[in-house]
Amino acid sequence: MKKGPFKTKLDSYYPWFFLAVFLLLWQFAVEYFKIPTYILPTPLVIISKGVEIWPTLVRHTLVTLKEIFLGFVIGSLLGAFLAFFISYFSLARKIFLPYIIAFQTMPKLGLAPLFIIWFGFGFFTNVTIVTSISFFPILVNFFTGLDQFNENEERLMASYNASKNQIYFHVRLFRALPFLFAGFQLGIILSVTGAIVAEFIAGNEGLGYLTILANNTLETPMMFCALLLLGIIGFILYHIVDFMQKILMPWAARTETLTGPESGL
Amino acid sequence: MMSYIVLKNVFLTYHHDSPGGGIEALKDISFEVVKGSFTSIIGPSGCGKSTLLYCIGNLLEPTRGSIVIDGRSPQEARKNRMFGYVPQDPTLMDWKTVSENIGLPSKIMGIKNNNRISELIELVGLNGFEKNYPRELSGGMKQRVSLARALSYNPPILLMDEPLANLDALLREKMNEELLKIWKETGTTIILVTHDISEAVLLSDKVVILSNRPGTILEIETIDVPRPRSRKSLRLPEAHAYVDKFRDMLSV
Repeated sequence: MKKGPFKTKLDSYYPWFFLAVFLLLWQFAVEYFKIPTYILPTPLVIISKGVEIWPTLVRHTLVTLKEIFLGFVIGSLLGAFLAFFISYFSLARKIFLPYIIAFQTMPKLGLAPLFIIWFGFGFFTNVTIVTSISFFPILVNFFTGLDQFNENEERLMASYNASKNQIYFHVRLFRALPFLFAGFQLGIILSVTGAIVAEFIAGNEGLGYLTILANNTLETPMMFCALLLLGIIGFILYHIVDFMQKILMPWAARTETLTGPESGL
Repeated sequence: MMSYIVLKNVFLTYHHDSPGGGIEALKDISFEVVKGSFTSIIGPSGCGKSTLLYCIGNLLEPTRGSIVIDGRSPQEARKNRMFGYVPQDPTLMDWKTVSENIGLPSKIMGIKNNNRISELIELVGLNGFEKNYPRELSGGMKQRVSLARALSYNPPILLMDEPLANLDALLREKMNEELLKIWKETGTTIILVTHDISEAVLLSDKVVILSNRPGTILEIETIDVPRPRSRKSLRLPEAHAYVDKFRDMLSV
């Protein structure tokens, strides 16, 4: 939505104002009702805990980031490649598409125990889980984009006597890019979730593991620190994908999506 | 004069192998086009005008009948890149700039360093917009890019499918005059599909009038209005006579 500059500037203060009020109310409510720290710590306690265990937090954050990054990149490459493959070769489509549709609805986290048997506890299993969870939205979105049939464009390309290769590399790939990025956005959000849950189940380090550890020892302030960092990671990664889309697709006008963090997700 | 494009008893039925017998779109179409001439195909909407254009350009295969383009089959003509197709929807690639869009056919056909592209940008009056993306252009500008793109590889035949249908009347008139100018400069054989009767009279040497679906030929009329023409030509009594005649034929 387009607004005047004055209004836009004022608008951007509202969330911060809300945050300040929220934190103040939280702080005073916990003190007033004498809620024990292991149930709900105050913001100040959480912050001081965060400062105290900062090196530990950083170490675990890096592990989780590495899992997300590796898993997402492998999942994206596999998903995008397979999407292109089954779109380009109709025989491959006939063979694989039914399986893709069947596997797509299967909850990938359900595979976690199997991956533990195969790869043991820890980093490698977690990366595999992230890969399997980010793979499908990218595959399905990119394939949908590549498979879009625009009668006008196909006719125009036919009038140039263009080859199938040329149609793919001049038209269809570009036509599919917004779909690919929609897949990336879904994939990156799912990757963060996947990494945490994987660490819950099979982790010996990382923010998800830290959360479970804090849970076992009733270290609730540490749990809040880990969750806050996870939120920040998700937010930043989503925006990196968004930023890459703007760089790589300069022709596209900015589009607002309902799932974007701008609309409050 | 030698005929350049010859259609003989062309029939086209969509889904002709379906149990219901399909939808008959074209019925027994025969006419000839002279090299370098301007032919318009007019008729009520849905009468198969575009279908006929696709048949000539080998974008559709006729069910029956023969089409010969300069002694060749339409498929050979298309493979030899004899057609410049200007669709109703400009169909610009959103991800390419104006000059990249105009250069797309050259890229596909392997024509290196096509000097024609900058000339064409000049010819259709788009200087200064070379680096703009289609979403930044108006409807009329998009149509000019589409026209320049079709001209970029010097095809001997232009097939135009109501490219001006979505423009307002004033802009249409202006574009029509530009089209006459470009036609004169390039010497291209043009076949234009339109539902605008005065546009057909203003531009054409010959007008082919199709009936309601299934499209059959009602009349083929040679337009004897002196050239060079401009929008003022439509005020001539002979032009009026053609417009009235065609209108009577097409109104039921």
